[in-house]
Amino acid sequence: MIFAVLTLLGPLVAFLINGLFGRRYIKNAAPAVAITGVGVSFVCALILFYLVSTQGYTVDGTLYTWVIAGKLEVPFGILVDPLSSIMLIVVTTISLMVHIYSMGYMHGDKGYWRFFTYLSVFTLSMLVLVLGNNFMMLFVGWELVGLSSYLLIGFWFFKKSAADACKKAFVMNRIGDFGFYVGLLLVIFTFRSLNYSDAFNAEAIHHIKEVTYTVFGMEFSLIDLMTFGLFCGAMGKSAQFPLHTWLPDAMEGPTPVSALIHAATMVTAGVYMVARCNALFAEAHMTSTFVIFAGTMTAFLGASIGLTQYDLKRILAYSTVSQLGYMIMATGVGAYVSAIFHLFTHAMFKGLLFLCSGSVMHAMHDNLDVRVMGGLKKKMPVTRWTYLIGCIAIAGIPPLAGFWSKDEILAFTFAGGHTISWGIATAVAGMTAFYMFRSYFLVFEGEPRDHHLHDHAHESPWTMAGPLVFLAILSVLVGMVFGYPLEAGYIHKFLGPVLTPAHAHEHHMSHATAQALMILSIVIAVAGITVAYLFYVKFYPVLPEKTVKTFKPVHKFLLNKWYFDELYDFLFVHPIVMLSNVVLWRAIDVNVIDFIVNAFGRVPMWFGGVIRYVQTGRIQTYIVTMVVGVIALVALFYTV
Amino acid sequence: MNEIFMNVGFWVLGITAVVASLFMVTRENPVHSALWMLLTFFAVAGIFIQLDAEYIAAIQVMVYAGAILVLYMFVVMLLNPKSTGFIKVPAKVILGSVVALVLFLQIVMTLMGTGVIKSAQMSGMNLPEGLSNVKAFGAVMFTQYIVPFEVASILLLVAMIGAIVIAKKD
Amino acid sequence: MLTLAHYLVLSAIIFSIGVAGVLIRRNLIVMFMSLELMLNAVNINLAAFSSYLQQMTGQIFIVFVMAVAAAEAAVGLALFISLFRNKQTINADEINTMRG
Repeated sequence: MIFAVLTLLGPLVAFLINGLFGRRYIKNAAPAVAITGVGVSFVCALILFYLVSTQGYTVDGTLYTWVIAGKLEVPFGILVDPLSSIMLIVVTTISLMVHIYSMGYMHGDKGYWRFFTYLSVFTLSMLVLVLGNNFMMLFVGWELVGLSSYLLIGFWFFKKSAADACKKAFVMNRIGDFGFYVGLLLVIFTFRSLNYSDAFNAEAIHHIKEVTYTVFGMEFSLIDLMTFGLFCGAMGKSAQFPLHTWLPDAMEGPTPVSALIHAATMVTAGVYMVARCNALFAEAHMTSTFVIFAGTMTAFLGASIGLTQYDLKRILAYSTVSQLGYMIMATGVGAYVSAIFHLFTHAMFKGLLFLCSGSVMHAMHDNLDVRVMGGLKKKMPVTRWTYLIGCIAIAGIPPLAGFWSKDEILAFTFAGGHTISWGIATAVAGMTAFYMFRSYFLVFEGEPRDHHLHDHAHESPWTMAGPLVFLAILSVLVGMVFGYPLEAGYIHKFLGPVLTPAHAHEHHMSHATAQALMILSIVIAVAGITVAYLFYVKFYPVLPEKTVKTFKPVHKFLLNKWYFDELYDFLFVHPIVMLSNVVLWRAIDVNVIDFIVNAFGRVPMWFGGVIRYVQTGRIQTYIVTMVVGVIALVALFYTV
Repeated sequence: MNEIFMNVGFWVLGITAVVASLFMVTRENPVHSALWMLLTFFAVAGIFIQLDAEYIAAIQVMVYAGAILVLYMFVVMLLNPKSTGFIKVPAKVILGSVVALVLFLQIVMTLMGTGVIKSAQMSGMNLPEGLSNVKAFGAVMFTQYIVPFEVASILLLVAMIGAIVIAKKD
Repeated sequence: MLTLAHYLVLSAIIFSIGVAGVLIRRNLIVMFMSLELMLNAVNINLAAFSSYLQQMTGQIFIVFVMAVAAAEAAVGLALFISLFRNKQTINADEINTMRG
């Protein structure tokens, strides 16, 4: 318990110190405070992980009772179990690395202290989200990470694109969160409690299993409705189709933020939430189907858009969308362990890739267009090697991290009988390998395309390179350490007890099938890499141009991100703007609201105009009035 | 004998006070008003003596007649305002008189309504043997009412300072 | 025979004359004198009850009333001097700057 509380206190204290004294007194020493705070969390997370993994230590305790409303009691409670301990490791590791990296990356920025304050807020809120033992704390953390994401995307708020992006992220999340609220209300309504222990109780779930409601003329089971609501929140937070459009725009924020929030931790909150609620989702068959659909769709969507983008960070962003689709798909098919495992490995290598892109961006004077880069491998050896490791890891080449988790997801999807999803996901794996290596080849290999930029490029300072190396090592190792052997690795032993619903139907595959799948996924990954090599090294730029010419409509469709932004503008933004402009502003605001407000001023003025004549300014008038008043009072009360 | 003396004293003093105050209110010249007020104060001091309040009577003469009234006289002399005209607005005089009369009648009616007061005999203070009025007064004032007494002194100090500040020429 | 009512009525008469004075006079100084008259009327009341109830407290209060009256006279007259210096008048009807 003490370690869990300390984990929360570290960033909280850092946030308070930096937030209150940062501008005046701490200034450039802000990172020291913030890193100390997150360092405390990191150490505590390691200790907790050690305790949980070796001694089966768990905590489900109440710090104090937070809300008492009638019979509903919501504690400020802390839950440490294998799931939250592994999330703690992810959050604190990436957060610590990003803190250190930001020291170099953000150096000289006017909002140096502000940046670290926000980072501390984010870390704190993410830890609250992960450590809470009830839906209320999950919700609070959920909203707080949304807030810190908003603040950090809009960190350079003077840039219009950044200000727009943070608004977009916030609004898109609100749409998803609306569903989340409904889900939470259904949870309260059903279980009369917000505690996980009450809601994930096999007996309680058994009771409500058969309850159905009629919504819009169709009959849904209560659990389906509840989980669908909750999943809407996950769709917003984890950027699932059709709410995915905010994530690529969120790349307007500083790159460390993209690495921490929009790749490694916050966007995985949805996956964490679904995994945490596995007891409910396992019973929700209709929602599960939808989850698989949304996940598969998102994976394909992200990967297909990623094929054509030229902005390095956007490529990574769409890759993130695609990988999140994988995780969600895994939760849909019931492979919660694999989903969390992929979350874990993905956090490492995607965090790494983003930090590398930040390093490249630094070297290229904030230029992110991959078409002007090239040949950077000599100038930036550390960044190059770590980026390459990240690419291999995400492409799924053994023995790096991505292979183990991704292959498990594919295997479980296949074993679960979702062959269409499996087919799409396998294709997506190939596409992922292709576009990741496309970005690698364009940035680091070949000839420099802009000599001016290339000549000024330089390797980043050790504060930035250090985290890269550390995360690269993790990207190589974590998959093997936790994932070997496939489908029965340590991670399964570790997470199995909390993430396997009581009566999950086990899918067994023959050994041969498993091996065939494994070999297939490796082959596809290698094929993707080879194609990328042919396109962007061997026959560059002839082959890519020819391909673009051949598939012009498709390329344009993908380059414009399936026209999602335009569609949403047409469907929602423009009608609402029109409505606000014509009806709400010109009709209602001007004629009704302003009228009421003015009336509040005019009526007292009119009364004042009447009553002012009583104020003669002559003292004797007042005295007469007073005496008459006294007479009246005496007459009222004393005259017999 | 004593009773007759008391009665005569009361009527003489009371009528003097009433008449003097009427004159005070109706004199046009403020100096005359002040002099009539002096007479009222003396009459009231006599009534205090009748009521066994010798000490109060003494300070009534000293503070009111000696200090406050002199202060008024000083201000009147100092400002020496030109005559403001006395009865220029008869409506105001009538209104003021009527209001005051109504107030008086109301007070009297209220008094008559309470039966005890009508028949309450004034027997005079029965002080213990060897205790004069001033001694008795001092004994109460400086034991039970010592704190209000000190507060009153502070009030006077504040008034003094305030008066100086306000009246000072910038 | 003298009763308590005699004194109270006397006090009421003087008080009412004071009220009338405050209401009808235009000279601020005379208005203020009328105020003192009203305070005196109250003092008679206090003294009468003190005698009737065989209580010293009434007389004590007369002293406090006098103290307040003295303070009030000092401050009030200072105000008149200041006022006269600025307006060249102490006529109550001419001082109506606070008119609404």
